[in-house]
Amino acid sequence: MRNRLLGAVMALLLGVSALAPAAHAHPHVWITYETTVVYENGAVTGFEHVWTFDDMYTAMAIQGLDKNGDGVYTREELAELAEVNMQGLKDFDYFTFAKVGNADQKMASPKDAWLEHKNDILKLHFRLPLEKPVPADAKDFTFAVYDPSFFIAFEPEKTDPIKLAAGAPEGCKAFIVQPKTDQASDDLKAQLLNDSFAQELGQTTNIGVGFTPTVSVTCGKS
Amino acid sequence: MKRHCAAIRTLVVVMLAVLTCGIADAQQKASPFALPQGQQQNTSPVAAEPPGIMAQAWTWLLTQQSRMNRDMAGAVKDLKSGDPMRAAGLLILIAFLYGVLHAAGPGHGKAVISSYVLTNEETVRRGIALSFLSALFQAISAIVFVGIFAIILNRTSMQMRASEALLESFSWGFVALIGAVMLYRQLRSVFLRPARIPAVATHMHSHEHAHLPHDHDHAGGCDHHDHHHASTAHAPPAHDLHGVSPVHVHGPDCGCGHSHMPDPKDLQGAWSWRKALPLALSVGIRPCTGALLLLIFAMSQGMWWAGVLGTLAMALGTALTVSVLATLAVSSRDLAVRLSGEGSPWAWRIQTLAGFAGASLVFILGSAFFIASLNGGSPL
Repeated sequence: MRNRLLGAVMALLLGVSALAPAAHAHPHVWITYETTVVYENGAVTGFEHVWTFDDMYTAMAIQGLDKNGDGVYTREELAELAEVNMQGLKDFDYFTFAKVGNADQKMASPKDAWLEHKNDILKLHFRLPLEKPVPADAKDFTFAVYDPSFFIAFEPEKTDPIKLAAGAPEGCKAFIVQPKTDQASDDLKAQLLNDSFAQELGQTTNIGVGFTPTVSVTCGKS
Repeated sequence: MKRHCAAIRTLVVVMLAVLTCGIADAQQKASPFALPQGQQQNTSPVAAEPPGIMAQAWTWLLTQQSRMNRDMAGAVKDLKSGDPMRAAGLLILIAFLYGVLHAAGPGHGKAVISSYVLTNEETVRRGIALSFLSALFQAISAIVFVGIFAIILNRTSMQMRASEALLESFSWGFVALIGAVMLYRQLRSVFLRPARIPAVATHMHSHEHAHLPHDHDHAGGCDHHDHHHASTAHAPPAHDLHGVSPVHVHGPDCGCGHSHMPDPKDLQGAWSWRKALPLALSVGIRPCTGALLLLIFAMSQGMWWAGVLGTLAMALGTALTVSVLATLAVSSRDLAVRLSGEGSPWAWRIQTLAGFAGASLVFILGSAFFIASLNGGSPL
């Protein structure tokens, strides 16, 4: 009888777990990013982003915005959308997460946001200043561009995704650190365990983090 | 339990992955974050370690989704310039796979429908029918939505998002409402029928019957062998959503000693629209983002009909995944009942537990997503 009951409970658990999400992370928007690290007076003052959207999102975003109907989507025609985008991105910290060591660096309000539509592809340009500039020789200055909820899949541009602006001190360089995969794998397991239900309830989780490449910016003398 | 859930989930992911892999070619397994060789010289040494299995599966899943998105866009373009038959076939195939994979995400009724069938003593058949019906509604909703807002009214994406958000709130609000009704019925059926367990227990000896799944109302008929049929002491049916059909009102001479085989009618599952429509509509009223993107992209390419085709294929894929999960839910509940012995108090407890769990989940999912839909901003 005990075995029977155990079996029954197991079967019921199986049923309940079938309700749990199988693979919840499914991006709907793809963005390839190209980011320039901006320097002023020997300190990092912010970032200049150029985000390129995928075909489908482009079509969706520009729908109905060709106001004069000439088939060209000008910067002016796209201005309202750019503003709405920046407004929306605000709640998501512009998907740009900078750190010195483990200390999160806050971002100030973005500037000069505009949309460019060329060859059927939409690009979002904007400058994102750091609230406090980070000294160029700061140890462990890193940043990452990603969407923790994974609605948007960010990928670095194939060639030259990260540039340093003209004012960068001699010897500074930026490089992409690929995620440490075993750590990522453990992270993912833990996240799947803990966050699956939260995700199902509409909360954002950090599913994508473990697999996000991080950009490390150093100015070594070596 | 957590470990258990994770295992099942992993299994489902792998299952879906294998399914996708089997049909689509899986040559391209490079990481989506891979950079040209020249750029990787500076990467830290840890990156060179062989990736864990989960990381690989994850990366692979991402790559596939990214490819699917690109391929779908490519197929629509090829319809214009390339070989139309091949492009159409490809579009249908990819859209279908996209539906299979994407149904696993929230908002496709997977959890709601599985919970619903868990509660309502539904058969596998009905779970599947419900999954297909809601997926079909969702496809129609997307097509009508784009047809009206983009084609006829030429609205902008910003205006469409507002309308979509409204539909989303409606959808989850209705789901929450259905959950509340289900919970109320569960409570009523338990608290208004305290004599149920003893009745089952004492009469068990004479009522060993093959209780195959059948969908008539268990509380209103002669099940559970409550011998007071004629005394008009019938409690209200526990599951009104079933739309208790008069065919199944068993008379006092129901003959409780007989082998209670289900009616052929029951096996065929007399489909009750009254019962199925509210849920399928609630889930389906909100178009899914993937379908909207495909439709508007197809429209921008002057290939509106290709978007419709793809959306329907996507719905088929979605329906398949949701069906599998709903079937899993129903089967495991039935298995649990069988293992504990038909008609035993434990079987009744499990039924009740499953009923409460399902009803609560529908209610919780509905209200949580409803609240989230009210204040949830979209990043783009």
